[in-house]
Amino acid sequence: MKVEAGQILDEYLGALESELRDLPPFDRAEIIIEFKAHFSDARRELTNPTEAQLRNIVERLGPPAEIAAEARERLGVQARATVPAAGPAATPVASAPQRSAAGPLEVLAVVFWVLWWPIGILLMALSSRWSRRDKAIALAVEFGVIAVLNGAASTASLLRGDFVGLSHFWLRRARVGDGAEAVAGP
Amino acid sequence: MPLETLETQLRRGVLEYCVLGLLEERPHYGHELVQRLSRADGLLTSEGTIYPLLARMRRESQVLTEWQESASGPPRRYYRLTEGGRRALHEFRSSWRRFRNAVESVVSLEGAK
Repeated sequence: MKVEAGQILDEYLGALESELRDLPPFDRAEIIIEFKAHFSDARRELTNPTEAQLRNIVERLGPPAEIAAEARERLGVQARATVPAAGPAATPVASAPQRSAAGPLEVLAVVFWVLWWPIGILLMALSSRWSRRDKAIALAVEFGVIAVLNGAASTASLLRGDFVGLSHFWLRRARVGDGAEAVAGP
Repeated sequence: MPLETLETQLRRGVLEYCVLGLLEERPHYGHELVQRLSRADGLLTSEGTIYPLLARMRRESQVLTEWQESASGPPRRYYRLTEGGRRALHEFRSSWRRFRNAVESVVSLEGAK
């Protein structure tokens, strides 16, 4: 009997999942979880359920197409033949295929990334070709590099011509300078 | 409008407030809600249609869900009323009363004779 209940439920859930396929995955998962729970609660109320009784549980739940229509309406999902929305939101999608990864701005950004990172960050922020995710990765890498370089002596970085090191070197000098002035006071 | 269509639309419109009304009493899990709504004549035709509605109500923070251990079987997902849900229910109550009184004051003259 247990196997049979599982079969009836799986059959129904399979049909339901396929009807719900245009829903956001999270909403779909939530509905499926509730249907499973509903079925097991309803079944637990029957002692030795017959196949007809089990089929009655899923029949009372309603046809999967009806549930899906209800879900689309209640959860604000467009019907399957979706028309892409007009307006500014649709533009990036439309222009995405012809987008190339690097224009002059992006090349400069990479060059400055190595030479002097604050300018690199600025140029990167201005870039419209790189996605937010690309930019986040670049930032993470840069700060990783800075963290490593911080461990090394600034002078060594300076000798290597590394301007990340240079900026730290000047910062430190400036701070020492401030301190010196304070001491030099009356 | 055919009476059947009217009933379907009325039912769809008030269902979420019926859910809020039940939850005001105490938290319920899905199957429990279905049973109580089914007992109220005509409120629920296809039992499964309640679940997309519950998903939306949770998304709109009218209800929240929490898993609770049950004495028999697996943990259950309980729906509980939020402050927002309580407010929506109170607003519905007064608006429903007004609507019902207005309709009855006009339509029930025949029956009241």
